[in-house]
Amino acid sequence: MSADPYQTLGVSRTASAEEIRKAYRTLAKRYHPDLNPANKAAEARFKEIATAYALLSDAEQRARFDRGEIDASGAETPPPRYYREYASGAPGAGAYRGGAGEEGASTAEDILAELFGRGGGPRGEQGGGEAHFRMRGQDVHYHLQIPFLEAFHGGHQRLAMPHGPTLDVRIPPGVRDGQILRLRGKGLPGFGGGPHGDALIEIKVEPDPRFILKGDDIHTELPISLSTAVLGGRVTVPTPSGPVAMNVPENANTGTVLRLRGKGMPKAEGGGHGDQYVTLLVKLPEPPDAALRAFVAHWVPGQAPHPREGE
Amino acid sequence: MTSTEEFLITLRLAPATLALWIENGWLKPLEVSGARQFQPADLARARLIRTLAEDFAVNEAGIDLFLHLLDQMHDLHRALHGLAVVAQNLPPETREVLRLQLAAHFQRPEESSDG
Repeated sequence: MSADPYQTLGVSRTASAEEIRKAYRTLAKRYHPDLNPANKAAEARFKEIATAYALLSDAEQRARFDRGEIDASGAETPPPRYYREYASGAPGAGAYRGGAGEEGASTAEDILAELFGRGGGPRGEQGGGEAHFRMRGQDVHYHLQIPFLEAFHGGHQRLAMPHGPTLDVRIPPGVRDGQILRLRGKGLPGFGGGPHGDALIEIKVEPDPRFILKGDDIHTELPISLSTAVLGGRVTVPTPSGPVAMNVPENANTGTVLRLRGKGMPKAEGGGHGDQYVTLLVKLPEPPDAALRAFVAHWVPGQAPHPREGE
Repeated sequence: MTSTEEFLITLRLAPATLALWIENGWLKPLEVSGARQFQPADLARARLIRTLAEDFAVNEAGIDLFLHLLDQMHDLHRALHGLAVVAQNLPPETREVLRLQLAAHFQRPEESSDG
């Protein structure tokens, strides 16, 4: 891959900056993937050209290369994703589609209309010009990022579509990361009176550090005081639907897992909720407590201390 | 999804430049609850616009014209690709007729009838 950049661009070693630029433009016109969408081999060739140009268009880099300090691979960068990858039909470029002629039919519609005889092709009189060709419009694809709590409770989002009216997206409670919502009839218009396509919205759920989702269940860590850990007691646990009171049993150690039934994520099928699992973390008092220190200093595990001493 | 700030940093673009590109209709980011969100396609398209402006020294009017034609070309590509997919699913005999007719058409582009 580290061919001589001068050879790659087809210029002499004494070429001026302007000559190098000209040579690059000529080659880029033929090999830039976005200027040659149909040429699948263009990308590999263009990578070499771009690398050579990056090296030789920078006077300092070029001088270092000429002195033999660096080789041609020094300027290699990972190739970006070219626009043609999206424009050729992958999700994401919907906004730039079909809008070439603001008035009237798109280019694609023209071709299909001609193919099926409307507007009189060469053999239109025979070709069933009366037949009405209907075709459903294209789907449009979007990505939508929502906070975890909104995925839990559901909600509404307004999406301003680049080529149409604002979309009201209803987020169903319990929606999952990667799930695709289909808004029927909100895609591009159909041909010949055919129905609109759909809008497909892929949901990305932002993780919430407090609530880790595993299947339908939510996992939470809850710090508790030393006294609650030893004696047990009532604590308040944050859940996505608000704080909930929970009983901690005596001698609950760090790592003890308690279950809050039905406080997990709304299930995708069959209704109901998963559970919330609460992992306890015992926290020593902060700042350090002198009395506790004194007690532990005289405490021998397994032996009863002198109860009520000093009271 | 990329926010406006990330987008500007990734492409090393001035806010005024981005504003111009959007105003010209070259980029059409989504708007979610009032905030712009850029998709990977917007990023790739912006990179192409920058290549045209910087490497090819195309001016504003030229880029406008270029993108207008580029969008039409991709429309055509998709239409042809759609036809190809449909043709692949036709019965073999129909496909053969299609192939022969197409070959004849491109051999004699001026003739409209095969007599």
